[in-house]
Amino acid sequence: MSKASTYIASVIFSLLLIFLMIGAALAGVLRYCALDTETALSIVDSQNLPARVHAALETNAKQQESTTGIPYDVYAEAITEEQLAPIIRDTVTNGFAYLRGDTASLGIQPDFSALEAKIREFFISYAEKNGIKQNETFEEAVRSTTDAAEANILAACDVFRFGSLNDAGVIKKAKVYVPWAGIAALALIAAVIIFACILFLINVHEHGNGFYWIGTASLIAAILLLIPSVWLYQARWFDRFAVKTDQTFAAVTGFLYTNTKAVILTAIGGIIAAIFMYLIFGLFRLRRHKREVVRKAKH
Amino acid sequence: MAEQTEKKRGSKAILILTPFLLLLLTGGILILCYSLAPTHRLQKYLNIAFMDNLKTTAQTDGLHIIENDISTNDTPSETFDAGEIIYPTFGEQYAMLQIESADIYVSVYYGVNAELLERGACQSTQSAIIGENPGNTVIDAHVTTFFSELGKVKTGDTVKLYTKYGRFVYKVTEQIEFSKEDKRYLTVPKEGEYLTLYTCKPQVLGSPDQRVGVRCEPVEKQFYAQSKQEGGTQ
Repeated sequence: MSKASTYIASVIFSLLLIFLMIGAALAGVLRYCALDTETALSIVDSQNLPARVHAALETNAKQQESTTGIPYDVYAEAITEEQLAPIIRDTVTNGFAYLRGDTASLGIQPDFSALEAKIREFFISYAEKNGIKQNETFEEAVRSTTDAAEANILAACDVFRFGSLNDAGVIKKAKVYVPWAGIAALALIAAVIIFACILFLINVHEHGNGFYWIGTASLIAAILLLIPSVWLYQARWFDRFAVKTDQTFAAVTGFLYTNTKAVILTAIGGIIAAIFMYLIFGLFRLRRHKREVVRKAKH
Repeated sequence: MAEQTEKKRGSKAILILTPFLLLLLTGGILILCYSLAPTHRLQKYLNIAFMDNLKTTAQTDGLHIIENDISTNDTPSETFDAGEIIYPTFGEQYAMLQIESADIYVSVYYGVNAELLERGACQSTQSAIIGENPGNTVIDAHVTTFFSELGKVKTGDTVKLYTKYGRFVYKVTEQIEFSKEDKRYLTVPKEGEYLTLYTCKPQVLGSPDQRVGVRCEPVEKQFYAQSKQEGGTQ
């Protein structure tokens, strides 16, 4: 292979390698960060979601006081931040498991016995004070109020709105592609390794040049990932998110920024790898230069 | 000797310039792919999901309520049957609702949550923007506040909605009552244009299961500006 054809072949394969590296990085972040339940659960803590959900439920219950006739105090003791935290975590875990196809149904059934007891206690006391018969109608009112309270709590704890996404058919569509994320990530990583080997083979007479081309591809892929990610992160672009319901806004934007950070870290890793490759390439050139100096001295 | 030095210099220049060449090539290909790929649908969804141009900051995150001064008296001299809709952001007061027969006059906010329900009537973000066809604009409010008189609205009554981009007059066609689980009045129709107003059916104690309201159909649409894409008919 002439030097010109080696150069052109290296440019073409480096170009392909750049796209493979970008694809592998994005598929990797999707599979091992975005679709990882732990990432979403870390948002629950970092964004203090139990407190936000509690505040939303408190506002809602106080607002409903005049409509339902049930004072907020009835719910207050039964719905604390500490009780909400595991419900939020279970809802998130179940949502991601459903998305990955690990569980057949969406939704959880937490223990609401304390809440049910509080509501019943209030109804009985109200009925006794006002001489209302505790008949079937009474039981129906208790049941519907308990159901409504539980549904409200579950809806508020569904911070990523899995329920709404499922109703809109979005999860059904996403479930088709989600299992492929891991396969795509592995396939793209394998392709990156194969293309890197091809670059070494193209530059078989100058081993050091293989490191140069792989380093260059890695550097450019990293730059192309880094620039938009840093812009999205620094400009706080995801704050444009339209749904401003406090807990959903905090959960979704927190989740998106965490994944953007993962892309930024991956890109920084790519830059470090590129520097490392350039250093090896430099060592090869130095060794070749020394060999040439020795050869000239002998002549 | 000089030739060798020249060659080495050329080789160094290639080594330095190649990454820039590759960066330009890759950037160019990405821009080309983006411009050729059919992303308009994705772009539409992204625009809806991330529509809040005003943005909130970390210090003021959460709901960003926007109050507008919507005139109910001044109508431009020239109006159009079809025209430009200005899409509101979540939390924006984008319309005034007037039902003279029940003495209802209330601000309409885009989006539904507890804070907005304290300020006025709220429009579900899953429903159509006022004036969209086909579509069902769904507006609700608390029965204890802004929609306490909604029960007085009868079939044949007139409902008016004023926005920054037009004024819309509806006729009540049906009085409705449905269970909170029943979504038939709240869904998006394949054809036809509707306005659905509802609130909770009051009961002495406990969470109301039933919803009551009215279903309306448009009788007059006056857009203040022609649609940029389709144009309108005067």
